[in-house]
Amino acid sequence: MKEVILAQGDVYLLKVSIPAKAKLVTTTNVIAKGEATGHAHTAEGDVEIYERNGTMYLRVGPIGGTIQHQEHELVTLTPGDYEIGIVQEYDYFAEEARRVQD
Amino acid sequence: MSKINELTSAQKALLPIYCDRWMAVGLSTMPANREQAEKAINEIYLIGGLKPPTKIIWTGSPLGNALARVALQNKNLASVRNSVGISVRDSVWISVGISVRDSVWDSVRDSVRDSVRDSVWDSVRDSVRNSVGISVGISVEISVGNSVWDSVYGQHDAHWLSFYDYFRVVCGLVEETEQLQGLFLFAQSAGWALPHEKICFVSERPNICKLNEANKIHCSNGPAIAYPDGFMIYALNGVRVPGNIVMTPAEELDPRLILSEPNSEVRRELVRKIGVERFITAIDAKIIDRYEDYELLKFKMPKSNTIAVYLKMKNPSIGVYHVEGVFPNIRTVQQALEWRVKGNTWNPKQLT
Repeated sequence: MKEVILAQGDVYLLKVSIPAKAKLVTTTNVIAKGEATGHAHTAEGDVEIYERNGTMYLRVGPIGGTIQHQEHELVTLTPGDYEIGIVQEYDYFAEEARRVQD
Repeated sequence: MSKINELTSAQKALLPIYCDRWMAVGLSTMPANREQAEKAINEIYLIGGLKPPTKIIWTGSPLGNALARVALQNKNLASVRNSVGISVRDSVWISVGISVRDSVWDSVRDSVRDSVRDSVWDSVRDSVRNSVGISVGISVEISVGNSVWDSVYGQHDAHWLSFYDYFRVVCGLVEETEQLQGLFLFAQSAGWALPHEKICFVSERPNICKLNEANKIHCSNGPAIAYPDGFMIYALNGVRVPGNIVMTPAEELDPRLILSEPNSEVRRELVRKIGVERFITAIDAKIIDRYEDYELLKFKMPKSNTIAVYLKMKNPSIGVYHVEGVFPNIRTVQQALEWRVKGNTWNPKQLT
């Protein structure tokens, strides 16, 4: 079991080691985006985004970084590796868990 | 010209004026100045190294631009957006960048550009763009949804144009920003443009554009954004919602709508409009656990024997309540919080 160390809306971060085969994402700093608002959680600062098997990771360098969002207050990132998670909810009509959609 | 190392007091005093001026451009609901806009379009093409379009087609909205382009697809239209927009912007970015010290750049960016961007770009332009993309995708074919990417956003480019206009007029960086003259003029004249070789589609501005006190698109009794051709967007507190949610009085909305709304942001606005206490009463929920601002609700789903468990929580950044379903066998708030993060330990040091 891993520990959620910070959360911003429906995005949360777990302290992990990034898998060696994860690939660096260079095309965007958006880690999650809302459909109804267009608002996005973005990684800023000394931060790299990685991806492996559909899971996204953040590597925060010595200068540190932040996650920003138009509606939520920013969260600050200390150096280290993190796994990015999106919270789930239970849909009682479909009778299944699903990623929160916003 | 020597590098600008700092802004004078007089220059700093003009920052809010440029912010207000370009905010007004971005949120303008005046009819387009078509003569001025067409002059600007011609100039934009020439600056981009292209011949001006032989035909300018006016439409009632950015959606109208997209649909007009669809109607002419057999003409093999070639977008020239990169030439007239992106390459010019990138060039000016470099020219101004080498003329001012980083701290000056950052100061003007933070004071002028970011303020205008929050409302005009992040709220209004994003909503129009997403709505056009969705509308075009549904009404014709998804591939032509690219019209939103091929556009010059005119008045909705106000945030980054405000930044360079300040440097041009207040700091005297005239030569460095000369290539933006057409875009400056166009932004102050019309809505969006969809530029192609020989033909350019140009839209009117909206005739309604309403924001709340947080500068998010919002209207509680009508469309938040509407264009002369009938294209409109309903929104509550920055969240685009179906029109019936806005137009139906709160007391006439069925609280059970909250349970069937799949989008969490729309659901939050339903909770805000209907009221969380009325929702709890309507579904006859029992509170089975409490922790800080959280409450765990248990109730029977309407027209069903299914027992549902929902977590009621407060968004700590905006202080608004929200509800989410959690797994049926959950009995405590702590279990619910950990189930939401897939069984990991819920112990955030920062929660916003």
